Amino acid sequence: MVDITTSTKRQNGVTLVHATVTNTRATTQTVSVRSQVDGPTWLPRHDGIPASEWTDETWTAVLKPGETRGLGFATPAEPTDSPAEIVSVSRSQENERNNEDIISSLEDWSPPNTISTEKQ
Amino acid sequence: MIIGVAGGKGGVGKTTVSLNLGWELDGVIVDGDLATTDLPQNRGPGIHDVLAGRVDPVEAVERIGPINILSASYAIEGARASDLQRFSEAVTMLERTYGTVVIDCPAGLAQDIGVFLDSADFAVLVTTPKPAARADAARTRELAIELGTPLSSVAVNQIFAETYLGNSRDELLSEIESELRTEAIPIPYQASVATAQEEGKPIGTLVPDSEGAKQFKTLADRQRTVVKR
Repeated sequence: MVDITTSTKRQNGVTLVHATVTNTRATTQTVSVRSQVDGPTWLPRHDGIPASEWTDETWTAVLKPGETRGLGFATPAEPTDSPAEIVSVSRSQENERNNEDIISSLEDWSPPNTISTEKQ
Repeated sequence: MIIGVAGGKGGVGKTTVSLNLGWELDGVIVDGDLATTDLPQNRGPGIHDVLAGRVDPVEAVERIGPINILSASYAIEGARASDLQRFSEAVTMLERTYGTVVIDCPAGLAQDIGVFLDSADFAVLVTTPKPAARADAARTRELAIELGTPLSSVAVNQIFAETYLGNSRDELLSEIESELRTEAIPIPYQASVATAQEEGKPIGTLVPDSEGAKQFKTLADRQRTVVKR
């Protein structure tokens, strides 16, 4: 399954929400987390552009088995017990393709001639 | 559970580990070493026939002494029809019947290893204390991680009771653990381990009280806890 833990910090009238998401499954998962705050969600921005994982109030990322990722946002709303929740988890199709690519990038394999000619 | 036993380098004891682990877990051992098998041989159909789509994998399993094995030994016409894409489905069918499948991977890092590791729930690495073997194990580890197959343990085979290259046994094990970021389980260098390997039998059936047998049991117990996690 995929676990989430959250924490909040209130300062100067702003609540900072921090969450870590961990994929405890043996397969790669695509995970979406949605802000649950009662107010605007201020996304992390670089040069004014929201971080690529965010679409509106939902953060989506691909987590490998055992991988933990962190996310955060700010809001003027008061802290709550559950400021962010996982809204969807699905086995990543991206990973399936990747594994095929990884395998085909390895040295070619074929049964050796000796197996098909000896001991008949 | 499906366990891939891999290590990169030849001669480090992958087959010995597979044989003993397969027996301890009462599962089926799949000989993935299609070219140069070291496992006991049967006379019926084997993995080549399964990969060619000619035989049901469960029917191709043979009981040889105390172990269940899907062997790679018997030469079959048209081995080139072997299709690695059938492998994953085959081991899943074996898992349904036997519960545990241990894949004895060959040396190297070619596509066959990639397919075997991709089919496994997790991998057991095998190395000896020698730097070349450890370097190959580290490369195998990277491939497994890239494929999303976690590692459960590293079996450090042929380890002497005293020292190696100036390190004590404990120092050596912790060095290997930090290199491979996986718990190391030492398999002692013992005549009984070698004899068991020559006879193609699990050491637990020949010398159950030996240090070697105890360590293989420890390795098997670790895999059970991985499953429960």
